Amino acid sequence: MNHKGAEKILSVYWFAILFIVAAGIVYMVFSFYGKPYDIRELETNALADKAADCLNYGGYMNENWQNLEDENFLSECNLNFNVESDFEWENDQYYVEIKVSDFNSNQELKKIAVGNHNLRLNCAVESDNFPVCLEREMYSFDKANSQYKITILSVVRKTEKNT
Amino acid sequence: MLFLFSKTGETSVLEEKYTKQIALLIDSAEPGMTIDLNMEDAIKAAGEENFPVNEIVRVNGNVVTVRLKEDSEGYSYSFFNDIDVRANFDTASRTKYYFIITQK
Repeated sequence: MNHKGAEKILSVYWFAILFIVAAGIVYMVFSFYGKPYDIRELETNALADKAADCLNYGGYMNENWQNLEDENFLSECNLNFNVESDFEWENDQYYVEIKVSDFNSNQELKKIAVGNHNLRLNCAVESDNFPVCLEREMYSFDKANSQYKITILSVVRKTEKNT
Repeated sequence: MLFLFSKTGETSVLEEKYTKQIALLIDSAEPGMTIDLNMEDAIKAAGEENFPVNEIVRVNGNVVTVRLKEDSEGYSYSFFNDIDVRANFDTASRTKYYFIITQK
């Protein structure tokens, strides 16, 4: 092969490499920026924190925890499950379930469930297109030194804006 | 490189990024707090689009909206923390917004 022929082949090869690298960068940028940021895991964490603070502070149960019910939980805990009206959402994008049980006997003392109850059915499925669920357990005392186990399940849907 | 920078600096990407960031900040906030958020790139982008920089962030009820262009509806996202939030453009630095959180 003469010198000129080798140069021609090399330049074609060089352009092919350049094209592949450029196409790769374009594909990666589009796949990264073409998808929305998924913040639902952070939202479930913040929601669980808010629910926990409403029941328990500094390791001790709040004095009014026994007065909390499904009907007053949102207002007592300063929560608002209204959402923007995009994608025909109807304030059905959140769910919180709290179980308080006796630590020693495991007997359930209180259960509070607010929001869209159907969301919890999807918690077994691990996929971006399903709601994000977070279950957390904690232990607490009251002033009489009774021990409690608190289980908090927080669920956020908002799939259309996060996947 | 130019393509990469144009994509990362797109107003729609910035609108979504800051809306969600603000919603998360509010969800974790307590009444009495004031939160500073550096939004230099978004403020610069709005300036280039001749959009009033003091109207970039709007909080309506429990929905936050960030808008950087006149012909865009902006990006909205809800937060669940039931508190009052006032969004203010920091006229001193002109690079950030601050959020005053109060009890409802």
